[in-house]
Amino acid sequence: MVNEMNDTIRCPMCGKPNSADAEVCRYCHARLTPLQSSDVPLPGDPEINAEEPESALPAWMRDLRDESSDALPDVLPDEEPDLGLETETVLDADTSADASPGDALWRETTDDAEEEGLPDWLKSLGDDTIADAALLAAPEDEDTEDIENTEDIEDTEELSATVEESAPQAEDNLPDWLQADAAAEDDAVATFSREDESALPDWLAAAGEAESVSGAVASTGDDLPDWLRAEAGSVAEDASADREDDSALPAWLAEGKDAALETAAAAGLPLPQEEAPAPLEPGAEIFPGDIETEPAETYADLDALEPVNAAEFIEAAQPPQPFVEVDLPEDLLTETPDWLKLLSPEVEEDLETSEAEAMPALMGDVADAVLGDLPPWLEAMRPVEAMPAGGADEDAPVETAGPLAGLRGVLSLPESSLTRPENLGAVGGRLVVTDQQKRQVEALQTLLAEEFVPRAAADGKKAKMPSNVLRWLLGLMLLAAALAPFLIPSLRVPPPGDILPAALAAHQHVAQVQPGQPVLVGVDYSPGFTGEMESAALPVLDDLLTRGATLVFVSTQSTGPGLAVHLADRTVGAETSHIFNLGYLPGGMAGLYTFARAPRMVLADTPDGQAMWQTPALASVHHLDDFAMVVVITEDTATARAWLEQVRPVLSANTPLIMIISAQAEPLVQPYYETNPPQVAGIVTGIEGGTTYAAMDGKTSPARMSGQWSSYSYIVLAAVLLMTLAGLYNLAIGWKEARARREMPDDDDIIEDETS
Amino acid sequence: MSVTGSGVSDILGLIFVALFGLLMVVSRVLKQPRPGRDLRPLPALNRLRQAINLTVESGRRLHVSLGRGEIIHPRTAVAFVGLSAMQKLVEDTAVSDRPTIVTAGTGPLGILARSSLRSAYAAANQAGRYRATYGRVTGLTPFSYAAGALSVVRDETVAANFLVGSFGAEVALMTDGSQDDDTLTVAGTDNVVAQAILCASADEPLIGEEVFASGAYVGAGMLHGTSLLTQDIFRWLLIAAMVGGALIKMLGVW
Amino acid sequence: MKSPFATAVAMGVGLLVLVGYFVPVPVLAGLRLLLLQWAVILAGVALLVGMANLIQYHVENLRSKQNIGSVLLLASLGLTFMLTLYFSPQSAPVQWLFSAVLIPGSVALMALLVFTLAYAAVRLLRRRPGVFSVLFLGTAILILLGAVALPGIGSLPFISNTLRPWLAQVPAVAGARGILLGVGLGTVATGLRILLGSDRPYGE
Repeated sequence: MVNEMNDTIRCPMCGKPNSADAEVCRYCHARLTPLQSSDVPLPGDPEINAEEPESALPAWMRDLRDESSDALPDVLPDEEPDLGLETETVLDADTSADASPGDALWRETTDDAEEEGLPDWLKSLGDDTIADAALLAAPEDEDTEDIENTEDIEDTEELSATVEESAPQAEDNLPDWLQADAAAEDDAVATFSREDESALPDWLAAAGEAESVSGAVASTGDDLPDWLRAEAGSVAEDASADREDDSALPAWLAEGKDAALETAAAAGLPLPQEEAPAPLEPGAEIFPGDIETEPAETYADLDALEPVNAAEFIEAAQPPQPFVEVDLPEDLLTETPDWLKLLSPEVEEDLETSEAEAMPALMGDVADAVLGDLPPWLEAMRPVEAMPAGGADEDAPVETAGPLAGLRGVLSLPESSLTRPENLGAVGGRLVVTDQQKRQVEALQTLLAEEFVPRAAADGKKAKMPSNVLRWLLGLMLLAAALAPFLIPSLRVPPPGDILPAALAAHQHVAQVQPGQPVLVGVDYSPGFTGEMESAALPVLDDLLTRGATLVFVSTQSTGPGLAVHLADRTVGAETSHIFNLGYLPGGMAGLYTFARAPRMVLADTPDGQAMWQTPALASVHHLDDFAMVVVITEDTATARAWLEQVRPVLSANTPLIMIISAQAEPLVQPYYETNPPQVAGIVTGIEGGTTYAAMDGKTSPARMSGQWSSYSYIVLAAVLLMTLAGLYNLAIGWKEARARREMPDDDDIIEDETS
Repeated sequence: MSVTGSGVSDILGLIFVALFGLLMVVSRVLKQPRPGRDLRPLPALNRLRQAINLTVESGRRLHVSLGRGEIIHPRTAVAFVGLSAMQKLVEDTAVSDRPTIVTAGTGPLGILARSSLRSAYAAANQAGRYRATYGRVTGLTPFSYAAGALSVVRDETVAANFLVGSFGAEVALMTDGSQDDDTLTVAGTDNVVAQAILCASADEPLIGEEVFASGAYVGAGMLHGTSLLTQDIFRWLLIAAMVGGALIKMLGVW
Repeated sequence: MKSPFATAVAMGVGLLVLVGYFVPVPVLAGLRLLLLQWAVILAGVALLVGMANLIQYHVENLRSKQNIGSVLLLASLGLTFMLTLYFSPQSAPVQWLFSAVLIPGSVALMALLVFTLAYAAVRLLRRRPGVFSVLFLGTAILILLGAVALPGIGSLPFISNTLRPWLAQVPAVAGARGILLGVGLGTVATGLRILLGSDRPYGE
């Protein structure tokens, strides 16, 4: 199909435009022009004289030679690249038992063709019907690159089967079915030369066969069996159906198709009604059956063509050429649509430099070009004929512009929605910046600029100085307060005057312990509280030891045994025979529970291996209640509660439980003393309790106790003084800072100010 | 280990525990309380969550301390709460450049801390990042434990401290150490003395049973939220019982 | 995924001890006692585990950071351990170590609390200025004044014999009692969560 406007050829396989000079399609590598006969020089064949008489050539070939003789592009290389193709691959047929008769035929024929060329019957035919059938019946060869469309292969296989059965026969070498129609051979419409057919895709060859069949039918007419006549008619119908515009088909093909119709009509076969071709859908492929064929004279011209050796043909077949840049003639540009001209590089440059107001006008020109002047191919797609007669709405306006011009009932767009550039607002490159955005940009620029401005680092030392000075001052004051009573005895303070009832009760219970009675002492305070707990516990232990009691130490903490020894070493008048250390009691509350119910079983011996329970002092102790008293020394309220909850239930009223606790635990242990009956018989609390007890008892060194009490008092007073003064100062500063924070704008307020 | 030994109190105790458990489970089926909607806001835990997000971004770490609760002691309960909350927090910070450090004051807590850490890293698909040194015992006595934890606070680029467990007065050393480094300290304990100290020294103290609510607020488990609901119900019952009993006693009825 | 066996053991043992506490059945009581004894043994072993954990961390610390503190700790731990094994826990050398090193060190740290708490109380008014901070500090000061004796005066009247006991026994104890009740409820809830298998801080 040659486009007369652009001098391009449309590929019959893929439908894409190619240069008129091209022989193979640059997209699918299908042959655009049929191969010439043997007297036409083949590419690369120097022996063949190109100056053959033109009368021997068909008209279309003569035309091509005249047009392209001077301007034939040198797109084909001089040397044929070796593709490694083997003739056998093309000629090999399926030798399996399932092969069709056509395949067997092909095998019979191709063997001879390899050595001697085509058989005589084939040569004498002048057409290559059988060869075509053999080619068509041959198994699909992946190397045959002319065949691009697998659907065409399937179609051609069906056609080939038909052709095999109905192909005109040769003479004696032909099978019977072919010999029967040998008479029709001479009058049969030759389709193509074998060269052309083998170069043409199979669908095209099949179309030619269809024409030849129809031609054969036309010539033989009554000689054909009915089934063959019907087949020929159907083939003729297929060949003439879905006709494309004549200008899209090669001339030789269009002439053949017309000839087929004429012959079919002459034979009295029913012709398909001519219908308007269905409008092509976008992207629709043009199948070989859509292409009209050339008139009969083309085929007659081909009778003179001599068959060509298949092997030679295959050798001469041009391999697919890589895409080669071809300089199109200048006149092609003149045929460029106007709308395409407007988008040429020169125009684009103008667009860039022009002002924004030129764009709408330019776009208007483009729109006019698109809407007003349609390219031919688009014009051809207009569904004018598809509109039903009378129209759906005769009152509807007729469309006057665009691809739907002349049609009624077209949905019309409101004027405002037309995409005409002049209706659009000015679309320029100018940004509209609001004041808020400008402020934000300035703020961002300021931030970025500040990133690179070095700032003086904060002096960390200076910031830390006040807190360190304050700490040192605090420490010195407290140290001075602690040492002063020891250094200056006159600064000592009198002991507490009031004796707490709980401490008094403890003293009274201790006074009831008889000499030699065992007293269980639970040492359950942490080493850090040694100062306070020893101050509280030593007067009680001294009192007990002085009365001749036997102290049995036990601890639920791992550091307890060591503290017990430390405590025992500081008591007054301690005798090792009256002090036993059971050691560590693991398990916390669970250990206390089991120890309270079975002390001998849980702690059989002392850690030193001493058989404590066999001593005379403890021989009578089998249960915890057998102790004269239980004294618990702890600073932790939880530990105190554990002893109260686990041990107190197994103690009778004769075995009091005394608590020696830290001042921090007193508030929570005091209620146990105040219950009725009291669960705790007495409480000695901290340094104050120890001092009070020592004052009552008089056995612990009064001086030491007085010194501790005074030091404690002075430290507390110093701390109270500092906390009061510094607290007031910090309170004032803190209120001031809090007020300043309240007066500062919030982040939300800043955002509101900016957005308002 | 019954306190009173009487049968009536045992039965009452059994009923109490059974009702508590039943209510926990039933509440879970009926309604799952959600922080911010059904639970009152706890600023301490909100700040902790913010601080954790910042620790990951700033390349610092979270320090969790579990106290020194004995394994067979009521003090262990608050340590378990700390473990549950810690596990959830570590899951969220498992991909941080600096992993969370967990300190404990007793051997069993150290083992549990490591186990929970391992589980947390596995749950966050970061099992390869776990190291045994992330959970450590810093001391076996109260002040040695505090001193060891203090070294973690000062030297390990800690951004936030979450102290939840049974502490004593030694917690003051830990909170004081965090003041100088400008780190956030969120602390809660069951020890009344330590609570008083934390009120003065911690940035965000958890008062009383708020420490037991930390699991629900960080999403540590299914029943944490319903436990809070159940605790609230029983708290009201106790209040009613105390007020009613006091009135009855005052009126001389019983 | 937590081990189901560990969960089953924890739940089973917990339920046995709990039921055995409330239900006076001899079999249950015996089981409970047995399980508690096992727990006591494990608690004792836990001390060694804690020590091992400590050693492991400081060995790793020594390897990576060459920290002098880790060197001292490991050396002192080893020395104490060897001495205790060679002599006895109650022997003089070991007791000397305890009395001369451990106790003074702990007491010194305890003494630091004085400065720490005083400084914290002072900063409290600056960090959180308000009525409750003033009340907090004021109460602390009153309690302290009621616990000491002034030179030449002795105990402060009214503060030491009326105000301080009332503050300690009424508001302080009441607040502490309420906190302890809440802690008790939380403890029950935590224990039940472990019994029900919801919280599994043990094993994997």
